[in-house]
Amino acid sequence: MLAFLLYAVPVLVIAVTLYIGFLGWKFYLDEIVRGGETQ
Amino acid sequence: MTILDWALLALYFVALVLIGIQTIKRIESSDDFAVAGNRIIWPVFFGSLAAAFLGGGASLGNAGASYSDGYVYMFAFFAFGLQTLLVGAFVAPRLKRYAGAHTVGDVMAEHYGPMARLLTGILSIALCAGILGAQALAIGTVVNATIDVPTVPAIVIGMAVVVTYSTFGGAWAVIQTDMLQFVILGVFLPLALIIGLFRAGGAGELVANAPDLHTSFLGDWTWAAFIGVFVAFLLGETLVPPYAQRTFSTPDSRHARLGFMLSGVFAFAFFFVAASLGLVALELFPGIEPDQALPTIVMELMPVGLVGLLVAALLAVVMSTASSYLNSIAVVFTKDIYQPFVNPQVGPRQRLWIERGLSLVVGVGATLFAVTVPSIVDALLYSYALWAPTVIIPLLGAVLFGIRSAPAALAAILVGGLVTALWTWGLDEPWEVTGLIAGVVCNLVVYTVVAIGRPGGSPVSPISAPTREEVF
Repeated sequence: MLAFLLYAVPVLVIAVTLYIGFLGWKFYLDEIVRGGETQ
Repeated sequence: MTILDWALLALYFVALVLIGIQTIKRIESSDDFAVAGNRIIWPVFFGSLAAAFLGGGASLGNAGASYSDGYVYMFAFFAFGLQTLLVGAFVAPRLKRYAGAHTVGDVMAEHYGPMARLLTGILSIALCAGILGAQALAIGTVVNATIDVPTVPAIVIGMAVVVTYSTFGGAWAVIQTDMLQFVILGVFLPLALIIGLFRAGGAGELVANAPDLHTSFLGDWTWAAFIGVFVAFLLGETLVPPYAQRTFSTPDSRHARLGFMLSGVFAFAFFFVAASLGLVALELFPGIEPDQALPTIVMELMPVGLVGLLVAALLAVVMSTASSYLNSIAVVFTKDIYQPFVNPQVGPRQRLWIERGLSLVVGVGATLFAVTVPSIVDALLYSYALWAPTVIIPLLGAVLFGIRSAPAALAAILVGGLVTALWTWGLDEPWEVTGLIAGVVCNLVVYTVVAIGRPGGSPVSPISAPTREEVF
């Protein structure tokens, strides 16, 4: 079980981070680059 | 480090400064500087909060403790994730009821009056200054342990970048740079674990070779020691100023609840990754100093290119925390001390420039103290032990139950602080009971007794009734 978690948890953390990073990047474009004009 | 590693590390610093410069145009008022105009949606709140609370302790400290003691320290650290989940579920959504609030002091003033705001402001600034100084020192430690650059120039360069983007871009810059730092630390530290596992012969091999105590729940700790550390992590950083400020920056209670709770879930997984890196270091590099566990993995195991990015990840862990606390000092001083007690007539534009000036002055001061008189940082860090035994119970009483008894809050803050100081530094924590636990218990007892005896107004205000949206 621990051996499985040692692979599964870091993969999950990377996947979640990339997804949240993608949403954050869209927010950055909307709010900072375009100055929040789409809101 | 190769040229590629140096280039990637330099790129990280350039990106931070560019984000800081780009966010300047979003800063038009003190609301923008303190809470990013209340526009931070849940994914950004989640990433920013996680980057703020995942500091040197959660990564370098956790890996080092796992190297020496095993997973027991991680299990104690889980208390922080549990606290974040609980605050996210029950407290964070209700903080959004306080329209225009920027600080914990705003909430305390609403329920307990100006003196509670002043005490909370002083405690907030002392706590933030201590942690800011500690992060400045940690920049030097990380750089010295990895790329062998002398400590002083490393601290000066790292803090110069932090101070620059925090001063110009305020909360917008801090939160947006947090997101970059969140991605770097959330991708490259887990990647380092996966690479480390392969170098150790696979996860099965690592588990088989690890000492039994290192993979057991309690290791060689006593239950008393475990409970003491667990409670410290459970209460120690509850709603410290940067976390409360982030919560106020969300548009509504749904975003506050979702972002806060998800960052708590993420914390469990991150702590596991950091602790497992400690076990990998124990397997591959026995006999090193425990606090060198993570830097050694980075420098000895990572391929060209990844070394630079992982050094950036370790710096991201520290710098995101530093900028959060720096921004909070400026906002707390202006909102909880300067405006109510020194210059109530201060206009919004003037307030913004005071906050910017304070960010610059405090950031430069923290850097100077860190490189010249680090003992001052140590002294300020004592205030870390005082946050939970003073502010948390009255704050929870206000937010969860709408209690408005000023005598109860003031008495609890004073008694909690005095008992913690006496127990910790006067009695040297007898019976393995930490000063934090003794202080919180006394704080709770005094607050409850005085609130019942001298409500000082409506003990339960209409604000205490949660809406369905806030709870679910």
